[in-house]
Amino acid sequence: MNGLSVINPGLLATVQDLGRIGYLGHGITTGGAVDAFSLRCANRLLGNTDDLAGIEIVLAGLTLKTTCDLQVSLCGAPVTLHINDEQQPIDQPLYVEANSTITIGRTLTGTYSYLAVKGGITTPAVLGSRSTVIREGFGGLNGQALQPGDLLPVADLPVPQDVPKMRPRGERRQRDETQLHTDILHLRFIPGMHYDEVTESCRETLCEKTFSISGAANRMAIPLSGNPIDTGLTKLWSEATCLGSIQVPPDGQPLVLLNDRQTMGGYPQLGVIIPPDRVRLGQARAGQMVKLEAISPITAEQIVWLHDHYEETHLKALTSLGNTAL
Amino acid sequence: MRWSYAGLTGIRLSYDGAPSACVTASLLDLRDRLTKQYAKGLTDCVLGYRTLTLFFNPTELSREALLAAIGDLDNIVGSQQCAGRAVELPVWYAEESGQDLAVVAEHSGLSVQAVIELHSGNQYTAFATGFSPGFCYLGNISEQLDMPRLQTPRRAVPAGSVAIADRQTAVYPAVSPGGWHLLGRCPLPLFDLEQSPPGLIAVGDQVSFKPITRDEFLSLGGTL
Repeated sequence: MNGLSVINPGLLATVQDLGRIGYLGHGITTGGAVDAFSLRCANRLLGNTDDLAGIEIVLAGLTLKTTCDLQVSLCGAPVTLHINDEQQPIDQPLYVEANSTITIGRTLTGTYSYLAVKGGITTPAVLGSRSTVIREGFGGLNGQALQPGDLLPVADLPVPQDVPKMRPRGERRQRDETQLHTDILHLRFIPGMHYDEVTESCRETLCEKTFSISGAANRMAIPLSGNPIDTGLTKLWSEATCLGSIQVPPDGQPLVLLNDRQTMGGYPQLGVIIPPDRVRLGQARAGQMVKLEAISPITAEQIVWLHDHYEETHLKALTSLGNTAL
Repeated sequence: MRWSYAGLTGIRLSYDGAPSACVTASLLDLRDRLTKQYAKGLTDCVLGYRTLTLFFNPTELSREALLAAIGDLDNIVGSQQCAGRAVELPVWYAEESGQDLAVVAEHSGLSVQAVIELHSGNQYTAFATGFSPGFCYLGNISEQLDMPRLQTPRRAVPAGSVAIADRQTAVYPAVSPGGWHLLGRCPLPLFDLEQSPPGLIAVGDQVSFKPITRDEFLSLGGTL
């Protein structure tokens, strides 16, 4: 069997695709790439379909060795990428010979990046998905994060050496980074669920105060800290959680629920952050200031529609590029 | 019932009264009707104690169409009876398997034997599945056994542990942290990915517990 051998998994690296859809009613969470758009970009650059699995890398430190010739691409947080000690661009399809070392280095901004390989990582699918959910012990290799010595199987496809080159995106990327780092991140959400049951002053604290991302963020949730929010609600009956829910536990410090959230929760949920803002939050780091803003469903629909359109246009451009590599 | 947004691609239906087998049956009826009608458009349907949250694929199904199909919110909860399957789970109740039996007995002013009889002498409705794969919230247990959760949750509760908290009872499908009081252990696997559906208990099922001995626990595949 050929593929990618794990030398050092770094902080945390897992196999992810677009998630396990349709099992929330069985208590099985969706999982999947926190920044699905970046994984899709990495796949498209190689002519892959969107649903193929890649490696999600948290921050830095992943080192892999190829046991066969491969085409790879890396998208997401602007990490440094080295192949056999030579720096290579991200957002590009790259040809990598067998026995090469791939090293993902540091990034000053962002959290998640995605390494795709031509044909995808082919660990066994569980309930239709290869996404790893460590808490549930599903997906990836044996339901775990990458471990030193793991061999990740890769689809057995012909791998041409000629790969197309993309226009460098360096300048635009740097501007994005500065903005992300210094500005307050606005998180627009659609009020719902328990929102009607809380007081006006609770809603004011939620929407008028600034919060910051506290240190303990992970794939389950991003904790925010700031003025405590008193929902006045106790002893709720457990119910479904949503991807992007703003959940407020008794200590009043809100949590934004992400891909690996538990499917049921007993704390008040005051609304759901729109997908593009949720992904920005997922990519942000501890200390980032954020502000929540309630918007109407109609406004949300317009923003999300435009955003989806932007993403689709971008993906189409990458597809035509990726397909030339076939 | 009321509805609210659960994001752009979700609708949450909630009932303001107390949870009951009838409310669960009504929500199940509605879920089954909608999943039949919109096999493609509905991606996930999750029952809570008194909520039904529907997630849909907006390219297949619009919120307006879904709300129209749900129909009159006042007519959802009626006189439905819970039509779920009857599921009997064997449980080895003992100090060795249920560390909190004595504590629960003391709290309720009953003997350990009376606690076991009270817990195993009832049928419970499976109100919701979640927390972890295969975990089912069952209720309601006798008021006499109503006890708040542990102050400090245990870091690892053994798989198969049968536990209570407030008016609820449940079986932990896998080793996990847990703050409920442990009464015994069930030897059957509650969750198996090879099975379809993977969970042994589904929402709406009527679950009862049958006391077994340590030997029976072991012969049914239980491990110590």
